[in-house]
Amino acid sequence: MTQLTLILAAMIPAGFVATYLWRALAVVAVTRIDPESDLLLWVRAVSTALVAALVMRMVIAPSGVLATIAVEHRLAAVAIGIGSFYAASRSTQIATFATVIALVLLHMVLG
Amino acid sequence: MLTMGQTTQTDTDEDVADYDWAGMAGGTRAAFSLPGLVMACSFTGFGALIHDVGFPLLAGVATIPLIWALPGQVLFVTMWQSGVALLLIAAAVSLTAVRLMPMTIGVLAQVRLRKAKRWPEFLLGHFTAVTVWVMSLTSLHDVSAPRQLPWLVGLGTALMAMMMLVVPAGYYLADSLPPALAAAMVFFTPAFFLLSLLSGAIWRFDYAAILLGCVLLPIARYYAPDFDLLIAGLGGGTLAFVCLRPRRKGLLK
Repeated sequence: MTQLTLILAAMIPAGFVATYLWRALAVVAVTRIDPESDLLLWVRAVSTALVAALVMRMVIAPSGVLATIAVEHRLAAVAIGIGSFYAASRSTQIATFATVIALVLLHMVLG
Repeated sequence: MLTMGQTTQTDTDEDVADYDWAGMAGGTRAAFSLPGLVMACSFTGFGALIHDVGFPLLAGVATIPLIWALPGQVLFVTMWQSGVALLLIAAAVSLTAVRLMPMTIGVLAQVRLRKAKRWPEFLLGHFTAVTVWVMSLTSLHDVSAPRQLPWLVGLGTALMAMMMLVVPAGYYLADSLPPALAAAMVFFTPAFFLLSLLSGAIWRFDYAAILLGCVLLPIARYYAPDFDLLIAGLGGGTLAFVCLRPRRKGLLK
């Protein structure tokens, strides 16, 4: 219980405020700011790279059950997913399922 | 004469002074769709992930209404479990959330009524994340202007409730599924993130930022494991922006 309270207390500033800040700024700014100003484009690049880095960390250094699958299979599944994204005319939905199915098949067939 | 008539029509549309909240019902129904299903699979994976790293289930569910952006939720959970300082967690979560700002501006610019009260925009802002953004681009054509914002609020509310149910399911399934299937569930999350990045990419520097973020992570991780995400994100993003700053704009509007 105390651990839960501690996490929730930490989540208000480091989760809720840290995230909602940008949404509130957007509401304030929507009447005047240019979404393609250089500052916002830089910010877009940094947050894109940050999410890409997060993906990479989940793929190459996972904790727990994902670590039971070989790293080559995890990387190959991602490559297959990217390929199927373009093959399926940029459908995020189809490609997401293709990535996950590829991971399972690679693991079961090549072990 | 006809043109004038049309202009007047548009003006009355934009001059409506209040939202029609009956629009929420349609948005709620739209949560049960293919994008909603992919999102549910990703959140099942998030449930499996928090089980995997040993994060308490209730706190994991609480990240949904409080953060409502899966990259930030995953960062918070994994960084918390590796004992990273709270200030660094806040910085990393906040940096992933920055992408919500242009996204929210884009959504609001589509659906806000200029003469209406502002508070519903602060409400919709909280619900805006990648799935709501995608659906605002694809599903609003048949919804009348005063109903569009309520439609998206209804969609966001329904998705949020669905995800809060799906996370405990993933959490408990993670234990009883064969390891390969449990791993597949966890894998939904990075797969969905990466493909959403690709689908949202417009300029060359977007692609460069994706590539550099991926490439720099293992290097940063080797030299400074605690700061790996921040280094790869700030470094890769800045490098992509400096080298490939877009000259042709006007693509976000």
